[in-house]
Amino acid sequence: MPLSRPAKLGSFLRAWLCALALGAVAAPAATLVQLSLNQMAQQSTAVVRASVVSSSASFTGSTIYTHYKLKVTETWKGTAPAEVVVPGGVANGYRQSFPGAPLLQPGTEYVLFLWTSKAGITHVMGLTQGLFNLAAPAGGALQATRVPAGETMLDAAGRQVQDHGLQMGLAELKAAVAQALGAAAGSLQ
Amino acid sequence: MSGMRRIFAVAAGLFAAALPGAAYYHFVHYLNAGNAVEKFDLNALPGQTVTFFVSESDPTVYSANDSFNSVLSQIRQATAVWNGVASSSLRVAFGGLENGSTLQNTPAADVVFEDLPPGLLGYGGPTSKASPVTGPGGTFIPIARSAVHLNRNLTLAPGPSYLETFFMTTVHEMGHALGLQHTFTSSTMSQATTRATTMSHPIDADDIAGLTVLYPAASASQLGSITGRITAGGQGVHLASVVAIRGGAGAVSGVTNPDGTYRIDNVPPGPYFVYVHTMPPDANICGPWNDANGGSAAQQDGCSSTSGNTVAPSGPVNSLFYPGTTNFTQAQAVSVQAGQTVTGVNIATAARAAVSVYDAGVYSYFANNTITVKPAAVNMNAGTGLVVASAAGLGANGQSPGLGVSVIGGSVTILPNGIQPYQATINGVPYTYVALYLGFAPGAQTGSQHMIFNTPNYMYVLPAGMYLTVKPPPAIAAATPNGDGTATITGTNWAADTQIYFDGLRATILSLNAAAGVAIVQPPAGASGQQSTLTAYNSDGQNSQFLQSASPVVYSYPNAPSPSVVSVSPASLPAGAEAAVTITVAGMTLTPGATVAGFGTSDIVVRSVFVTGANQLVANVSVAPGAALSNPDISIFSGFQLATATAGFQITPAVNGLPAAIPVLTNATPGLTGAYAGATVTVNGSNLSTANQALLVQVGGQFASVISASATQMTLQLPATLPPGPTTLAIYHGVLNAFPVEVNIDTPPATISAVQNANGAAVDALHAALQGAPLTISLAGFAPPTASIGTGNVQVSLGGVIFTPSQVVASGSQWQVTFVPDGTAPVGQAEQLIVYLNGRSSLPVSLPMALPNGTFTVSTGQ
Repeated sequence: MPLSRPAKLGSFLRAWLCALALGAVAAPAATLVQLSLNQMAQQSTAVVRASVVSSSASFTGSTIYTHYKLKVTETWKGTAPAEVVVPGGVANGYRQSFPGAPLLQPGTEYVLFLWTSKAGITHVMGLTQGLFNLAAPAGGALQATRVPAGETMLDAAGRQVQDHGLQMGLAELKAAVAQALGAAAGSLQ
Repeated sequence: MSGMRRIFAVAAGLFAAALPGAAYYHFVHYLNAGNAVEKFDLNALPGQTVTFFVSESDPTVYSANDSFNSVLSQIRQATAVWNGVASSSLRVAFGGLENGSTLQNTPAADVVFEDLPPGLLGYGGPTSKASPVTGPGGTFIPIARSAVHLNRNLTLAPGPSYLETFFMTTVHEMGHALGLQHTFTSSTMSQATTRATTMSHPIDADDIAGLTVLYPAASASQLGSITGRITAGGQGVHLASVVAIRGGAGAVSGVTNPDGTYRIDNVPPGPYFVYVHTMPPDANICGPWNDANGGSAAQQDGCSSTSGNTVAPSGPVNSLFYPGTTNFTQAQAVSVQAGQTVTGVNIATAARAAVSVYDAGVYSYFANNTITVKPAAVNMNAGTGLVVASAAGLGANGQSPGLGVSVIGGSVTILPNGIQPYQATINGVPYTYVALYLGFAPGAQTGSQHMIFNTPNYMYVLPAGMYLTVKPPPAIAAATPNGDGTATITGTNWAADTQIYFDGLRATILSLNAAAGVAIVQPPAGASGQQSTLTAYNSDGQNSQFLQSASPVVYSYPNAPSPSVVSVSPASLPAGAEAAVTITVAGMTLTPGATVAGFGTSDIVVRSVFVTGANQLVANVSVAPGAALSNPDISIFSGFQLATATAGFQITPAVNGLPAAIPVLTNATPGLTGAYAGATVTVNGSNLSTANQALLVQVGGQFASVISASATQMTLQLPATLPPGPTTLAIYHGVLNAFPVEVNIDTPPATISAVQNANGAAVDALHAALQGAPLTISLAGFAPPTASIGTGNVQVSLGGVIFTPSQVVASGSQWQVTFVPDGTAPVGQAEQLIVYLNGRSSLPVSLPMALPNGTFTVSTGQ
């Protein structure tokens, strides 16, 4: 195998990475579009650090939403909502299950990138993309962790990418959000 | 969903059964006495049909050349995909548009468009009753209603609607709505990371198996099963995926129970290799839920394994082929037989810290490497085979040390030094890929190729990682109207079975010259001014969107009057009725086979549609006995054309004792099929007859002889002078008249004009047929002389024993079918001889069959 092949291959892949047409990707179906941290910060209506106080489920129209009451400790953008909803749950003797929908744990602390619809319903951005668990390893600083999404994602240009999850310190995350919003890190609440 | 935490606890005490229960990729609940899955109750569905309705609140943002009509066509096609699973008794139908405020009691499914948060394009799943019920088929959790939620903004991926990605997303989400969860076999229900299905091949063996487990039809008995147990350190492994795989066919899988037992059902017969693997950390599985001891309804739970009510999986284990190897050459195949179970396919594996490799994808390149495709489509005739693989955990630190790649089946080899690393950074995130240089064996087979990735301490199998072809992807060059309603389409790299789609609907091909790349097609009826995107699909899995998605050929439909519903008769029906509803439209042309009538509520099921004129149809509808009183909307589709009538129908209170005939005529004579003039047929229904009341039945305006009748079934002899085609069936039982329904009278059956032995002599009592001696049957009225009929289309029944003919040929205006009555043929008396063409029977004749000694005795009094 000629040594030049990797270089030649590199040009192939660079071309691919730079100019991928959506329709030509014969990978069928995706339910998520990958959002960068910048995009989540800019497109969200609110970004908060909060812990989940309680949860309940109820029907809105024909969809069951699980409502998570939040205790907000920091608001990095917008107005902190009292709750966030996730599709699915158990209500009135019925269960709705949507693979991919996250489950928030009461008592757990998160950073949440939120989006409120015209109907006034507040969702987590990108189903799970806007959900960062906060936990401190033994004796260490708080880490914000977002697990990889199961569904393959397309980026904003329709190119297929893989989500490898994110982990960073809380302070680092806060600084990144501030930068995305064009604000000084210390100015975020 | 948050990642599945690796909790090394197996709730073995939760589950105990004598035989491995299916803990499938369904929505599974563990009960005290076994598993229960969420599924539709077929007894609650008229015609065992679940209907998908589309919310009238359509998308709000479209790309250029996209439209709501195109969206609806894709949804219609997606329902047809799931309806086509022959081994499933569940039927899936497209019900048209619905008003969200219409009260409905019958289970069904809804497709809704809504404002979804950024990053979320769609989701789907079932709504089930929280408590199980027990029916004839066992205990299950009935699905009350399912939903598919899509974004209102179709300029975002996976849209526009004419793209294959939109169609496949819809098919996938519908699968969830029917009760299926994610699998790991690259089928449609696999996550998009590994999914390998296409519009040409929208569902694979695992999808079929999963649906059939929920709703088995009689034909499922022709499939087999594999059972066994997966252990690690002597303990059962919970929620591991076990896959049956072989070259040249789709993989089928199951999931282990808490005690490690598993069952893979609905496996097509053949030899398979079985392997176990841990689900990836991002598997996105809902449940399984621990509902034992009534732990269900009271607990709020979700899809995550971290939910308190969810039974967690075992920790990661090594992937192994049966009987326990990562070396495929040492794997032992198991042979699956129709209707039989292979037992004891056990694999003892070992725990490990993490899943090392997962979510693989293999890509190929087109258009000077500016376009990629996944799964890789590799043209064996193009010379060089080069694909690129990516996966979580693959190629760390430059290259996964000691990585080996192989392809099951022997058609593809990895060339020496053919595994090369490549690293790239996208948006600051590093990705590592592996380039694979491929060789092709002499006689290599086209189609899907299953791949195995071996690192020194882990094995990962990617079913259908790539597929081999022998030509480039098809393309469309131009589409030109011919002035007579047809169009001339030109293109390249077509095959004899190339299909041409206008948005989501397939055109009728009137003629196709693959070599010249010219086709004359009848486009689907288009909406006024519609700009329809054309796509060519080849059966090898490639389509013209590979190369042309950025600038596809568009067909412009002319402007036309807006379609409308002119009349509906009757315009109302009581709950529990079966009736033919005549609908007249204007501004659209109704096309047989492409016309759909929707009544906007799951309480009305459309059993069949007859196009009785260019502007008129007759729809046989069934109103559920427990239907909600409502005024649903009517929607009529013909191709892309759509006519609606807001509140165009009314469901009224049930009428006690109303006769209701299901408009299906079934031949009552054993061995015969078809409802033709003079045939004896049965009709099922309710309140068909009452005591002490005369029952009168008219078919096509002629009285039919009532041979027998009960409340739920009657047997009739159809009038001998009925012409073939649709006609009306009317019942009068002296108290109430049934609403007329539309039935189809079949053409007269073929007649057997002669049966000759190999010497050309007619078979009769003096020259009885012999076992082992060929017979030639001459038939009149069998098929047109120019019809293409293979031996696979024909069966011969002799005394109830079925034979496959050795030859089927046209002979003048007749046809001749030759078969050999082997040792299984009954002998010693005259036997009934029937010939079937695609299931349609001829009239029978009596055939003398001699004893092995050559004698035949005519019985007196016969």
